[in-house]
Amino acid sequence: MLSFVIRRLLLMILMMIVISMVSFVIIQLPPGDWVTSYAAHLRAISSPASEATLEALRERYGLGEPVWRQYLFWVSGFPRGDFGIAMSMQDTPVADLVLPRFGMSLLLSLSTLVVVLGLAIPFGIIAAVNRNGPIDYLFSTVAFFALSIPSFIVALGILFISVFYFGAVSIGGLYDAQYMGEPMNWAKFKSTLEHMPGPMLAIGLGGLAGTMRIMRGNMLDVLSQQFIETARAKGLRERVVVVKHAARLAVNPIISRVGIHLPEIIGGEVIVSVILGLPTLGPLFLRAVLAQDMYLAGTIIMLFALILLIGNLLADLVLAWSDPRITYN
Amino acid sequence: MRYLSAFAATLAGAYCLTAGGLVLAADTPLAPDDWAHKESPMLREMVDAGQLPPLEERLPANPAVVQVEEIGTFGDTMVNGVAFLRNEYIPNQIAKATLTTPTFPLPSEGPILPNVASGWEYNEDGTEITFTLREGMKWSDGEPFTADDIVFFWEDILLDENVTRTPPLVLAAGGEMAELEKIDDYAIRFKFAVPYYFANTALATLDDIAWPKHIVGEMHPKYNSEATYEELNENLLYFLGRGKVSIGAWVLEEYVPGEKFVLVRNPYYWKVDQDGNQLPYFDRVEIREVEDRQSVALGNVSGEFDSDGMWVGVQHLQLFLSEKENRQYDIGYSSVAGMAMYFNYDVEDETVREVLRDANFRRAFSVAINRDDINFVSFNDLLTTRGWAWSPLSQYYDEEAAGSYVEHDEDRARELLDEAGIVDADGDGMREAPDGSELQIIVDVSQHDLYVPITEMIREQLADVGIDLVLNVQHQDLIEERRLGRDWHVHVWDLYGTEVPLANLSLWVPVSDGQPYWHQEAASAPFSPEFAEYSDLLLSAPALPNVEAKAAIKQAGDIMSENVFGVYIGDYERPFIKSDRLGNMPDRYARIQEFGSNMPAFRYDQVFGRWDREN
Repeated sequence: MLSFVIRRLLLMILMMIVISMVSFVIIQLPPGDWVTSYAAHLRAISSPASEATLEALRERYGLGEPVWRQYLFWVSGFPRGDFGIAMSMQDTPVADLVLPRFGMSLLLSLSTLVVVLGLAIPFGIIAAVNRNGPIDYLFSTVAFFALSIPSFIVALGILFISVFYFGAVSIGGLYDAQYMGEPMNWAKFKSTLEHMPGPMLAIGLGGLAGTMRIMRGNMLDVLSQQFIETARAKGLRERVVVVKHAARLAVNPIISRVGIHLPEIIGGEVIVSVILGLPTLGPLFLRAVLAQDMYLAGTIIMLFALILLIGNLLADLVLAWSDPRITYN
Repeated sequence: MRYLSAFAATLAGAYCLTAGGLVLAADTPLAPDDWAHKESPMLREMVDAGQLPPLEERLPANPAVVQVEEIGTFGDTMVNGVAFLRNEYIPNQIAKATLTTPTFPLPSEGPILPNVASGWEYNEDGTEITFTLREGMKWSDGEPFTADDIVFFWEDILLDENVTRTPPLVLAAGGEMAELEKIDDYAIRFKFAVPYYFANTALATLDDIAWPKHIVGEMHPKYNSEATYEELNENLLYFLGRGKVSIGAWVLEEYVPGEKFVLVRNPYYWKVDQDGNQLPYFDRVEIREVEDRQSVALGNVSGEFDSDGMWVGVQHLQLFLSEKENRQYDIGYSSVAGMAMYFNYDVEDETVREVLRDANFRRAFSVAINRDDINFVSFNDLLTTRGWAWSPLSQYYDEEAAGSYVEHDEDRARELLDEAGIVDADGDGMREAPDGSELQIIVDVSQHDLYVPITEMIREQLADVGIDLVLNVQHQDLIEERRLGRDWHVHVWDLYGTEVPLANLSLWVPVSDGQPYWHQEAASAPFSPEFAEYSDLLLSAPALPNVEAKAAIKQAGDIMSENVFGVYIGDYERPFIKSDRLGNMPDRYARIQEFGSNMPAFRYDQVFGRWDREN
């Protein structure tokens, strides 16, 4: 088991190196660079910069250098915790920009995941037990709707209802405006918790519905097996049969699915965060890509990748713990 | 809109006084006893605590007096939202302090006025302009603001080749950059190679005129042997120190990357209202970053933001109107230049080049467009159509020129095309080039929520008269790259520079090689005699006294509208939004790019809050 974890960790490092290279190259693929996009922006706001200024900027950021040299320059700072500077963000060090938002992203993604699993599994069980009954139909109908509405529509809906029906002043955010720029403290954390249900609903709704449907299907499979019949024949209470015998088995595919689920949540988080103006990695990532701010975008891609790899590893480990038939060596 | 021509009429009066060659403009001085030295309670507390000298010592001897509509109250924070990237532009603009300033809120309604400079004077032949500064004026940290700071900025920042800033082209006259000379601590003089009566207006377009020598000088190798140019260049940004000491109404207090900017009032600000209250009224300005235009619009509707005139537009008018009853805001309008189509007279493709160079083709192009339909579909009936002519907001406006080749007339378009020899030779319904080859004109347009649909309409309208347009819709960066090259046929963007053409002459004529970008060979090989004449007129204008300059520019305007050097759709009234709590906000202003894109002579320093925000 331990050797498995170590091997996976080593593979992860290798994987991260490959990801860093690929992502860095992909960001550079579109024609032009940050200075081109900066020049276009200046023109859009009607204060065009001179060629000399642009050339100087290019030189300053080393944008004229070959890609491999830029890449080496970027990664050589990693051991020092230096991920480059964000050109599009007034030269703020990337680490300063990304770290607080990384925490917010993690908080949002993980709590969404926990809530999604926490609700989907019992709902799936209830639906399966009441197969073809009114509750099952109700759950399934709602689930199909939830599955077919894209997360950004849910986010827009939340925004629309809160502003136009409830007259909200705030148009998004993950905490009250007064806490912007403050380090995390109890008041800010409380404010964050108060703001989380909306984004969590938008990000998690689709996944919740999907997971519930899978849990229901698994349960139905398991419930029709002979050992369930046996358990009932032994005279066990139905509750014990369902929870201890059936659900424990039916939940395993869900756990292995967490590895797939996490990217969905992170992907959904980007779009939802842009719409709801959340201070997570998503909007920063979108801006960085649009501005061709390669150090910032590259670092965020790597963080996303890191979350995925760790999530996958954890899912595998949890699966081994929950299903004794699975061993790693 | 009829009132636009009324503005143009008032202009004639305003600019006449500059006719005699010698010009004198100055503030009405205010005797120190005339005002009561009223200041924000926030500053009063600091004075009482001994952290700040009293107001009398902070103000210059002759502070600029702003006639506000309503005397405001001090305090609170104004919150605005911004979208897009790199928004350092906005705080920079909000706190900008130019040497001279256009009339507020409509630059076309009056002359150029004193600002940081309290007055100016031209010499006999217009080759020199002397600006008087305000004695006793101070930087936001209390250090004196003198001619040295301007000379430092000019010589050691703009003219120093090791520093990544270049002197503004608008101060180059007769092909030579102006020279700056310090007369004494409170007077500077610009000298030009030729007469340049545009200088006082030119200075109103320059946001940056001085940097604090006592701060930036410390980073400059010339004054500090330990400093390096590399470090200096890195520190030129507004955010890295410079923004914290300024002569603007507010200075940078805090910047949270990707979230907000907070600006706090400059205790040494040198403007007062007519009652002697030191401006600005708002203690703080907060600029919050959101993801896109729509969020800015929504935040202004919901009340999270107080005002916006930059990110919201006609596309949000419905939203503004429908929610207006339930919320506390008002809608104003600003006159904005709309979409233009530029022809590339030096395009590599020879067939296309010959076609674009034919005046009749361009005239046909313009009259084939149904501007009324475009107005109805895309502008909520807020469009005023115009041809390739100077703006009604300029002093060169001519109604006839503005109306030439604007009226939709398909038959006329067909006639003009026939005259140009662009006929349908093979009977497929589409016209061929005079040499008989297939004619396809590629129109470059960036992904713009207004311009793409308009260009699509134009493509259909042109197809009705047999001209085949192909739309090339791409990201703005890519279109921009193409524009700088030679490969494009037609380029779509805002019409830029028809209000104050002299401020950006290189957009119109070859001030130097490679200009204007739509006729890069213009300097050596103008494409038509008419263009050559127009070019000579405009190039000569800056050296002429105002009346003659005006005549020359108007004549150039007649030539360009008659020959349709480009196709313009029209100006439109662009809605903006402002919270009811803001006092002294105009209902109408003009967005003249040269005078600032977000704040066309827009003075947030005289805006105040009628009540405090709740959040």
